[in-house]
Formats: sequence, C-alpha cells, structure tokens
Amino acid sequence: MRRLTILYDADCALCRRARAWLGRQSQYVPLVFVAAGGEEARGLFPGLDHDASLAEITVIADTGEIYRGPKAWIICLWALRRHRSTALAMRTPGAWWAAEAFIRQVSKNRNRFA
Amino acid sequence: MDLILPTYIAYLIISILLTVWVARTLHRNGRVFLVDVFRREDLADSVNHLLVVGFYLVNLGYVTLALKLGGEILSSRGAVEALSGKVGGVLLVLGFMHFFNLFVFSRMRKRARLRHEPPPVEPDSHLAPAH
Repeated sequence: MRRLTILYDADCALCRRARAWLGRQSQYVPLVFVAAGGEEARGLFPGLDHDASLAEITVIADTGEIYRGPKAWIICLWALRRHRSTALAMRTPGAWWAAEAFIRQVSKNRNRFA
Repeated sequence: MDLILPTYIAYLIISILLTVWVARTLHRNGRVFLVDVFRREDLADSVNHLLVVGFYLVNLGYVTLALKLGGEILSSRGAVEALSGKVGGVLLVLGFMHFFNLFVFSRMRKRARLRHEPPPVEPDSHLAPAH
C-alpha cells in the first residue's frame, strides 16, 4: 500500500478541519484528499459508488482496497506515524467496538459541529 | 601515612575495569537488537560502535569527575570505606546508563516494528481490477 486516497465531504466544516489536520501529520503512507462525489473523484474511480462516499468517509488504497466510515478512519490513523499504534490497538474487539460507535455518532451529527 | 594516592589508584583501576566490562557486554549483546532494528549489519555495527563511544565518554567522565576525596586517608579501613563509597557511585551510574541503553534499544526496536505492521482492519470491498 503506497498511497491512500481519501474521499471526504467537502461541504462539512468538521470534515474540512479533519482533512487539514490529517494533511499536517507525518505519514507512513502518503494521503491524498479528493472531494467526495466531485468530478475528480468520479474520474479517478469510475466503478465506485459515489453516493455512498458522500454519506460516509471513504478511503481507497492504491492496491484497490476500499474502506468506509469507521474503518476508513482507522486506516487513516494507521497511515500516520504518531497514531499507528492507536490504530493497531483497534485489534482488540472492545476498543474497536467503542471506536466504531463513537465515529458513527460523530459522523451522524457532523453538521452540528462547525 | 596518607594513603590517598593508593586509594585513588585503586579507585581508577576498579572503575575503569568495571566500565570496560559493562561496555563490552552492551556492545556484544546490543548488536542483536540493532541488527533487528536496522536490518543491515553494517549500519547496526556502525550505530553500535557510536553508542559505545558515547557510553565510554559519559561513564569515564563521571569516574574522573568523582575521583576527588575530601580529607586524608589515614588507615586501611578508611581506604576501604572511601573506595566503597566511590566505586558504589560508579556502579550506580553504570547501572543507570546500562538500563537507559536498553530502554533506547527497546524503543528503537518497537518503532521499527511499527513501520511494518499491516492495517488492523479488513477492507469493506475492493475496486474492480484496472482495465
């Protein structure tokens, strides 16, 4: 896995802030950010369900793996030098369950955080 | 008769021998850690050598700095007590440096392993193969 493309909701302020934060972090795997559902996204990934990528953050590896929602977030953390160990802690079922619930809640209410 | 000079000489001999012994132990056994971290033997040997030089500098520095004794040494008993105090200090500093080195090795190794860890989650799906 040499590159991760992150399709993010460009209309959501929280998502834009998250995108900026991710872009600033030191990365093991380079992160590329593309607005979800936009022309560039559709051009890059013609076979992808772009409506789904508007509902939930979608990360696509250059090797073809597609991660959505909480899994996409974990992959982003895994790609960062400082947070890879946090991502790896998600191998514990309890930690994963809690993280998944938290991410889904924040994502559902993301337009409330501005 | 003031036994201070024989005491100083004994202190230096004992301290230097101890330092050399610990340094050689670290050099020999630390190599395995470093080869694991760096994956290349020449790089591991190079880093190992550099770390040992640093180790000698700090420890011999302490040994020489701590040499000076306050009063006179007028009896063998006084000599032994003074020696034990000084050598004790050297051993504690050596011990601290030794554990510090192990801590550094262990951190380097953990960070190196992190680099090679695969993702902790399975993908939801895959892209169709490229045309």
